[in-house]
Amino acid sequence: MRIVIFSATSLIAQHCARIWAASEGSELVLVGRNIEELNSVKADLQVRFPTVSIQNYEINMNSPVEIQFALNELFATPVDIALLAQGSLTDQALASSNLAYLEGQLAVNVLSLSLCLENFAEKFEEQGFGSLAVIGSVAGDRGRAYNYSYGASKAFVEKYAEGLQQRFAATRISVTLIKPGPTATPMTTKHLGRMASPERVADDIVSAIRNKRLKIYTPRSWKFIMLIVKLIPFFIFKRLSF
Amino acid sequence: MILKSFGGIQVNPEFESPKNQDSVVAAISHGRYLPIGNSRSYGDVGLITKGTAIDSRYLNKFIDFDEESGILTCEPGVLLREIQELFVKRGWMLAVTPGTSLVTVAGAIANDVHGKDHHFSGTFGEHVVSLKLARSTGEVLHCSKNENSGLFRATIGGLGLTGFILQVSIRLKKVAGPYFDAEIIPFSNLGEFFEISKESEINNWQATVAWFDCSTNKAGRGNFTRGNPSLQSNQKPRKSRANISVPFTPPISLINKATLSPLNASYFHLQKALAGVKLMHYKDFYYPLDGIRDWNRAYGPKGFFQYQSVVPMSVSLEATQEMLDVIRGSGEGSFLAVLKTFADRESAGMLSFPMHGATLALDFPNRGVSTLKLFEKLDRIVSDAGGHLNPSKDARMSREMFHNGFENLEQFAKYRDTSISSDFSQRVLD
Repeated sequence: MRIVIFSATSLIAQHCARIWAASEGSELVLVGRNIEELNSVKADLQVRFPTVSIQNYEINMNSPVEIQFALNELFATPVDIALLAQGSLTDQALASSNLAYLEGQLAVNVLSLSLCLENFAEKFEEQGFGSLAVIGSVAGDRGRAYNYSYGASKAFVEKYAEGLQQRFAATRISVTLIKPGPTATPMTTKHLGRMASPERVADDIVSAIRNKRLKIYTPRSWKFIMLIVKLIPFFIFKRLSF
Repeated sequence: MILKSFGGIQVNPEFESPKNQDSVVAAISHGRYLPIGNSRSYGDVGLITKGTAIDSRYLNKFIDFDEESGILTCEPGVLLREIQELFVKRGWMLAVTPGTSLVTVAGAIANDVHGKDHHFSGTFGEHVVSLKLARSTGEVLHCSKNENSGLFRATIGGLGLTGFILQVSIRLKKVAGPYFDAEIIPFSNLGEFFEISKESEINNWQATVAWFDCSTNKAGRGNFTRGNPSLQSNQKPRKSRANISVPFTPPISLINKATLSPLNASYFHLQKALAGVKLMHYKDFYYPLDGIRDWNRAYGPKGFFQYQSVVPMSVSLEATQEMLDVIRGSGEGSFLAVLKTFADRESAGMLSFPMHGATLALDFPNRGVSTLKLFEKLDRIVSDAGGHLNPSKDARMSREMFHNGFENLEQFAKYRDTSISSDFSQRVLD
């Protein structure tokens, strides 16, 4: 199985890579913006799984030209799975006071993801099969004063994925949207509350892709929490502070 | 962010979690800080009240493994559990491990931890081949026995006070499989313990430890456990255990005067029932408490102390007996009372805890003044015997006790990084 991982240095992506690398005959392509970080992820995987084949690929994930060039090369050999893991947890207070920061955040959370989704869609369509997975968030379910910039970006990703799911409904191409709850990663060390482990989230991601699921919450309990949150009428919701 | 020691002390320092080595070098260059790992130290060696706690847990990648020599190179935040689980399948294990696998490799070095096999393999530090150490001056230094050797010896057991460990190379040992040939032998007093200890070392048992009951009048009854790595290459996974945890902190300590005697008695009889020779998975042999998540919560909101001392071999029986008598007389009791002998070998670090003698580790619920009074009495016995306390377990020893116990302190001081301080160093060193 040949698997391409965008933003492979993210902790969740690293844990997914470990699960995939453990199965016989996997071939991984790690894509990211910093070759040194990619090399350290590759070295780590190679110590854990000495026989797995790993290739690193450094690109600017916001550049249409670079993405197209990379995907043309990568799809020269069939790709079974693509995971798009790029994303940055936007600090709302900073985004509100510093538009340049907001622009940078949107470049990762919106621009990069849509360019990659679109280009992967085209390549999978040409190939005729494959699994495309993208990481959204529970934050995309409702706009909240606390994190609406991040939430809106994740809602964008969700609608984009839904569109692709409809487009590929009658094909051998699956599109999976992953919606993790707060996960313990370097992005969230300063946040309070219960965090899911990245290992657990990665387990859920890999099995959702294997089962060609459309949308999953991970950990699963978030499905029910967000169902209730979504059911709160807006005139009440807007007065809540959480 | 709240930072909590394993014994339950809380502080609220600034907090940073660097993701790579470059961000560590940047993070340690501005102001007072302390490198921290998985916060398994009982006392305050891993706490900083004023300054920044710089977390190594996301620096947890493997870098290289040489199948010929068994030398593993990795980042500081890798947990010992990960090393054991990954490498035991390939016929390698850590040469030394403490009684929990939930510590980082850098934490194991900074506290120069020891385990059941001290008389055979020494401390963790003896198996460190080299280190990469970042100093707050911006320098990144390679340290080994041949290069920056003073700094190397200061960093092993240096309680994190000499720099931020960026990378380590350690030598693993070859094993046939994940199992131990283990034997449990009940004993009824301390004299018997020392006899079995001696006999086990003469007969080349690589790992030895004893648990004993110090809560009743049955003068030091207990169970002695010894083991050797089994030559069976059986890779069968161990029987899965129920996933036990202490789900929340109860309002009072569950280990108290009323429960202590029955707990100790049932533990004694449980182990006694298992007496004899058997095959044990390394997780059951080395890490029995890792199976109960958050067990430290059982001590309630006030937490607990661990008191670990070592006294020289020549006076070990008398001093240990005296300590037990004092504990019994005090009305304070300990559930986990662990006794082990250390061999006569040169320590890898300047401040390493082990010395040729007997070490006693006791867990006491924090009952305030009366618990601290007991410790003062125990301190006197340990000092008079020429012993000292383990800094990585300590939250209360006096400056004098520390300075009298560790003769290399003056030499160590030369290698300290002036930007680093912990609540422990503030209390007994600075």
